[in-house]
Amino acid sequence: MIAMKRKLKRVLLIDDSESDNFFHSRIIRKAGITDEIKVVYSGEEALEYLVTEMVQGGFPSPTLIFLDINMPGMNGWEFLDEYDKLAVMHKGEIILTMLSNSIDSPDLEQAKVRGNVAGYYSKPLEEEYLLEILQRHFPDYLEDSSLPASEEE
Amino acid sequence: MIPKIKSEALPDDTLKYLFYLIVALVAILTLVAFSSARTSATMNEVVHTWQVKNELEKLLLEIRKAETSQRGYLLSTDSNYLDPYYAAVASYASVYAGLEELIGDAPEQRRRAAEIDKLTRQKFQEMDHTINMVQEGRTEEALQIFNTDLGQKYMVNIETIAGFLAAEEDNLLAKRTRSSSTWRKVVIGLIALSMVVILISLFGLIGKVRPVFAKLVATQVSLQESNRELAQSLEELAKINQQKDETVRQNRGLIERLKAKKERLNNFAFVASHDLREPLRTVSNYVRLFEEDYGDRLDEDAKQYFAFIHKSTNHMRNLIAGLLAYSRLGTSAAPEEVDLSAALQDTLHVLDSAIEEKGATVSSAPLPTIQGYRMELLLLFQNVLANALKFSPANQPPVIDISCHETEDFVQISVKDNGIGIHPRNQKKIFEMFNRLNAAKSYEGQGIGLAFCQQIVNLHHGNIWVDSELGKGSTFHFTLKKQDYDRDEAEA
Repeated sequence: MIAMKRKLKRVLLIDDSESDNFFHSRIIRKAGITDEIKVVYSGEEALEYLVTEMVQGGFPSPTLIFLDINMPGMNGWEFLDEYDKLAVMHKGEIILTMLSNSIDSPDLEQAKVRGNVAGYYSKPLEEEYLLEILQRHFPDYLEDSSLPASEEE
Repeated sequence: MIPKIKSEALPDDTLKYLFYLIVALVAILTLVAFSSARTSATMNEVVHTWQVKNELEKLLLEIRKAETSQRGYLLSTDSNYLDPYYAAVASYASVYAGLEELIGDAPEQRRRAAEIDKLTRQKFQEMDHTINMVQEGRTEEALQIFNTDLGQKYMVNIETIAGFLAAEEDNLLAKRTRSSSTWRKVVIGLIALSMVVILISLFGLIGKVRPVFAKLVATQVSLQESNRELAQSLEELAKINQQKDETVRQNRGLIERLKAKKERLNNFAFVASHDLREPLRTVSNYVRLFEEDYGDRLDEDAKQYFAFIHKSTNHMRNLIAGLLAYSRLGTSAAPEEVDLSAALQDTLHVLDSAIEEKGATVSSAPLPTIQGYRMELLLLFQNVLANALKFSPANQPPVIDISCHETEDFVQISVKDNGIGIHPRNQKKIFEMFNRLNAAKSYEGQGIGLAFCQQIVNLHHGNIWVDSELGKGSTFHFTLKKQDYDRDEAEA
């Protein structure tokens, strides 16, 4: 459980593995960083979700996206190519984070040169990773107790 | 196969014969020229002799004509006889002048001619005198003088001297002809001699030249033979080259196929290790969830089972990570200059805590700089040294000594320890993948380290092996090519 001042609006998980989605959803839910977790099983589904107006109006614009690299059909990299072409209102304020089966150096190198990728982690997603992401990208959302000691000084 | 062709000089004898031949030819030419000159001179002399004799006859004839005319005038006192008389006297003078010229310088003959002239003039004086007497009418007195035979005496003397003169000319001619014929004999003899010399020389020359010629012919024959052989061997060479090209092509094909196979294997290892992770992760994830959610309802046995599952999944994760890294060896970067001494220092730094913990002593000779894969060489040192530290005997601190031996192309590094040693039957096995000799309980490990080392050494065109005796320590030796293997790789 991470101590939060306020929660992230929405977190999107893009992964073809049902067991991984289940496990990651549970980690995110247990950490308590958001109330809305959306799970899609492919890049295509994710793009469609992002450009579809919601019932209550507006676009989903998730605050944080976890993207798997290895997927059948459109893989993570291909999704990123398509994502770059989206209108700003569809993207919103979004932090993209890659999740991979392994820390494989060619993938890591590619992730580094992609401007829109904020992080690269190996599976499984852990609470430590979540805390690190929040500390780096969403410090305003965190209780002071959750901030790293060094940053307080 | 090709006979050695000597350029043989003609024998010295041959040159000698040639010399004789030329000398003899020159001699013959000289002699012929000389003798022909001689012959023409002789002919001139013969003609000259006959001319002199002819002139003498003419001279005597003119004198007799004069005498006959004078006699006719004295006996007939007819003046008609006087004309021929004076004509003969005048004619005599011109004939004598011609004779004098013909005789030339021979003093004896000149003297005789002069005598003839003197006697002739006296005779002409006497005849003039008698003619004058007749013209003065003293015919009787003139006839008396005429009858004294004085004129006849003159005539006999003149003829005698003329005879001597002619005989002397004949004599001279005979003498000259004799000497000329002697000369001719000598010339003919010399020519014959020269001919003999020429014949002998020619015979000798033929004798000498024939073997040389025969040798030339033989050389030509053997040359043709060797040419044929050469053509044949060229043909064979071409055939061999063709076969070689074929082999090279086949080899290239094989190498291509091997490379493709190696590529596929590496790719397979990568994909397999990559994809094996996912189900493994799922298993360990859900075992964890299981423990989290139902942990309070598990008894001690169940907790023990879960501990085994965790240990196994961890072990498998390590194996897969090792396999993945193994498939990635030599693909991370291009070869570069690597200072092995510096690499060793870096490695010792990484192993610092283990060295301190075991109280190990590590010593090393200076190591050279080679061209190689930096990360892989670090890994090689790390694995070999970690092994030496790991398999140390329980009761004493590890002592590790690193020595180095260089050849022109290779460097051999030996790492000697005082560890537990390796049984001879296992000394090859240890370099195979996933091969562990020791019980997991006493020495932990995945059995990957030395397979890594083998692969890294292969990458550097070297070799790795171990000398060891159980309980007395091991020495790991490995060789690394110093340079240019990336080029070999590119060619292969």
